[in-house]
Order: sequence, then C-alpha cells, then structure tokens
Amino acid sequence: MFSRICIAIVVVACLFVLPDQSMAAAGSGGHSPIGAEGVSEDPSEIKTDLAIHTVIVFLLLFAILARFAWGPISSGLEKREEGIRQNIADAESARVKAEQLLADHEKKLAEVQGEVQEIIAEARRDAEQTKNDIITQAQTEAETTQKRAIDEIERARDHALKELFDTMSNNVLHATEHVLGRTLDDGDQNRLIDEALAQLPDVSRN
Amino acid sequence: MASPVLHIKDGYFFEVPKALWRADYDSMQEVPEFLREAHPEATLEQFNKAMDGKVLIPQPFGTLKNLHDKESGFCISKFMILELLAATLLVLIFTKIARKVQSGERPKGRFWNMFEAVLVFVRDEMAKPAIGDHDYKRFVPLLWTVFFFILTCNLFGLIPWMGSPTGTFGVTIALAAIMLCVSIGSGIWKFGPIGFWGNFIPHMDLPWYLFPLKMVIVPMIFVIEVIGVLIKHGVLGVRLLANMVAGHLVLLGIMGMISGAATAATSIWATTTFIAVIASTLFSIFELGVAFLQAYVFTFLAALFIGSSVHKH
Repeated sequence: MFSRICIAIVVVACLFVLPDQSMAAAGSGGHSPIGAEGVSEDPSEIKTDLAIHTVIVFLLLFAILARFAWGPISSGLEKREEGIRQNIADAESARVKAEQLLADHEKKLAEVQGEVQEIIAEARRDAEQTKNDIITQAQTEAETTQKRAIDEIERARDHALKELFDTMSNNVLHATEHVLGRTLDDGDQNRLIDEALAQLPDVSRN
Repeated sequence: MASPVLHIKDGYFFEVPKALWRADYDSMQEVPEFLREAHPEATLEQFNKAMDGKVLIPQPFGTLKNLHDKESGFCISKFMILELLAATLLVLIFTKIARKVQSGERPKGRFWNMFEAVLVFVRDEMAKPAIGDHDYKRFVPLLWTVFFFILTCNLFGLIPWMGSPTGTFGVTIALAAIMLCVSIGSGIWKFGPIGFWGNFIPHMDLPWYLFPLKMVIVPMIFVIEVIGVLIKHGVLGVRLLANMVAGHLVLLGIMGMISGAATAATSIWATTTFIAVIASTLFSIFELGVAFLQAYVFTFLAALFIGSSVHKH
C-alpha cells in the first residue's frame, strides 16, 4: 500500500514537472519576465502590510481561541487531572480503610478465637465437673444401695438366726424336758442354750 | 525566466501546475492592467504563456505593481490568505477539541489524543519548566496559539501549491514582535515599570572609590541588557525564517535540477528527474521534522524569554 502510494506520488510529481521544460526554454529570453519585473529576490525584505496582517490575524486567532478553545480545554484538562488525583486519593483512602477494616476484623477474629477457646475450656471443665459429679453420685448411690442391701441382709440373717435360735431353744427345751422328765429351771436353760450355741457352726461370720 | 527564489516569496497569486490553470486571455483588455503597463510590447500569447498556472488573487482594496509587489492600497497576498486559512483551521480544530475535553470523557480516537498530547506537551514540557510553576498558567494559551499557528504555517509549506508564511520576515518578525511585547508587558505587569527595567541594572559591590567606574559600567550594562532582549527576540524571528527559507531553497535546488536538465538529452533529463523527485520526497520528510522542530524552538524560546522577564535576575 505504502509503496504504491510512493510510486503514485512520483508519477504525479513527474507529470507536474514536465510542463516546466517549456518554462525553462522560454526563460532564456533577454526580456525581464512578465509579472516579476524589478522584484527583489532578497528573502530578508520585510513587507509591512503582511506584518500588520500577521499581527491582526494572530491576535484575532488568540482572542477567538482563548475564548472558545483554550479556556474550556484548560479547565477541562484541569478538571480531569483533578478528577484523576481525586480518584487516586479516594482509592488510597479506601485502601487504608480496607486495611484498617482487615486489621480490625483480624483482631476481632483473634478475640473471638480466644473467647471460643475459653468457652471450650470452660465447657470441658464443666463437663469434667459434671462427669465427676455423676460418677461420685453414682458411686455414693451404689454404696448406699450396697450398704442398705447388706443391712437388710444382716437384718434378715439376724431375724432368721433369732427365729432359728428360738425354735431350736424351744426344741432343745422340749427335748431336754422330755429326756429329763422334768422342768428345767432358768439356770439349766441358759446353760443348755450356751452349749448348743457353742456346737453350732459359725455361720454368721461368713 | 523569473528567478526560482521567487517561488518561495510571497506573491499575489497562487502557483499551480500549468495544466490545471490556463490563462485564456482572449484580448489585451483581459490582461491585468499592471502587466500591460509593465510590458507594453508583449503580445497576448506571451501574456497567456507567462500567466499559465498563476491564479491571481482578486485585489479589491489596492493595485499591484507586479506579481510580488503592490502599487498602492492594501493588497491581499498569498500568505495573508494562508494565514487566515491556518487560523480558521485552528479555530475549527480546537473548538472541536474544547467541546470534547469539556464533555469530561476520557480522550478517545486519534484526532483527540493527538492534539491533546501536543497541548499537554506544550503546557507541561515547555511552559512549565520555562516560565516556572507559579506563573506559567497565564501564558499557556498564548504559547498554545503561537505553537500551533507557526506549526500550521510551517506545514503549509509542505502542501503542494501552497507555501509557508513563516518563510517571510513580515510574518516571523511580527510574531517575534508580539512575543517581545508579551515578554516586556508581563515583566512590567509583574514588577511595575520601574521594577522591570530595574531588573536590567546589575548589582555591583564595588568599593566606594570605584563609584565613578560604577557610574559608567552600570548604564553600559543596562543598555547591553536591553539590546540583548531586543536581539534575542529578533533572532527568534530570524531563526524561524532562516530554517524555513533554507529548507525550501534546498527543495527548490533539488527540483531546479529538473528544469536545469530540461534541455539535455531525454535519458539525462529522465534520470535527473527521477533522482530529484526521490531526493525531494526524502527532503520533504526531513522538512516535516523541521516544521515541528522550529515551531517547538520558537515557542520554547519565547516561553524562556517570558520566564526570564517575570523572574528577578
């Protein structure tokens, strides 16, 4: 594309240059050229009306641009720059705020963690306590029950023994009375009972 | 044949290829009067031949002496029209940019970005360092105008059939004079008339017995400083002109080889033409850079001069 444009430019330039041959040929005449007679070839001449025109055009251009372009552009650019600065400042403050929040939350989280630990420890302590209580209570109850059972057993045994002794002493009495044919006095009875008791196997102690 | 230098001079006509514009004068009455007066002996055919490719600008306010000089009144020249064209273009472009910038949107597209980048460059890289953070904002609009006006005028020199108004002293000296007025005016506005001119008086700590010497040296330095300011601004105009004229002269020289070889054999002429067209294309690219560079240099130096006049030495 670019090379084509270049070639096109060269061709067009050549076309426009071609007619200049006739101009060069015509220029060899001795007459002063038409339209350029007495024209200074010095590029440093100052044309006053062009200078005044330049000043007027420039000042007008400046006035128009200052009114309709530079003012709005300046303020627009400044506004945009201010906006960008503001955005950066906002972002910075938001970042700081976020960091603050994060720190707060981390702190809070740590606190909560501690609290949780505390609670768990307390719960564990409570549970331990409760367990111990339950165990103690159970043991106490068990002991009580056992003791009561033993008491009852002992009471029943005593009762049984007493009944047994009563029955046996009566029987011994009857038997003795029958054998002796007489009535035993209290002294005999007691002696007999003692003898019988001594003969009994020692059951109560097992 | 007219001197080739006249091609880069201001004139009262636009020069276009002869094929595009034929001067078809049917009778001597149709030939412009100033031409007939200058060449009473010339024939109609000669006038037609000479005026081929020259589009005369109508002159309602004055009369011409020849194609490059006026006789009386106010004559509209090619560069005046080009300056107006440049000004109109700038107004159209920058009012459009202003509307876009004011919309508050982000810059989009080549057109907007290109001009805004240059505007910001002139403001931040030229006005700010040259004038200083404190005062630069006041002068940015002027520098924007100067930069774009000169740039447009420079670039017009690279558009076929146009020309660069910045290649004449009338334009560059006028611009330099405006910058001189701004520079002095802003100094006076900042320090007051006495304070401003007082800045040119050097401070010298000489022993008391050298007081007579001081009385001689101080006015001398004052005069030198003032002349220095004038010269600096004058050179501003000369530099711009010299760069533009030099570039166009080189282009003219390269293209002139073609008409120089016109009477030679066809093969020689064709070779010359080919080389000259390539060379002038390349040199035009270089000139494109010069157009930007000189607009930059003029604006930056003008900003420096303003900066030095609004600061104490």
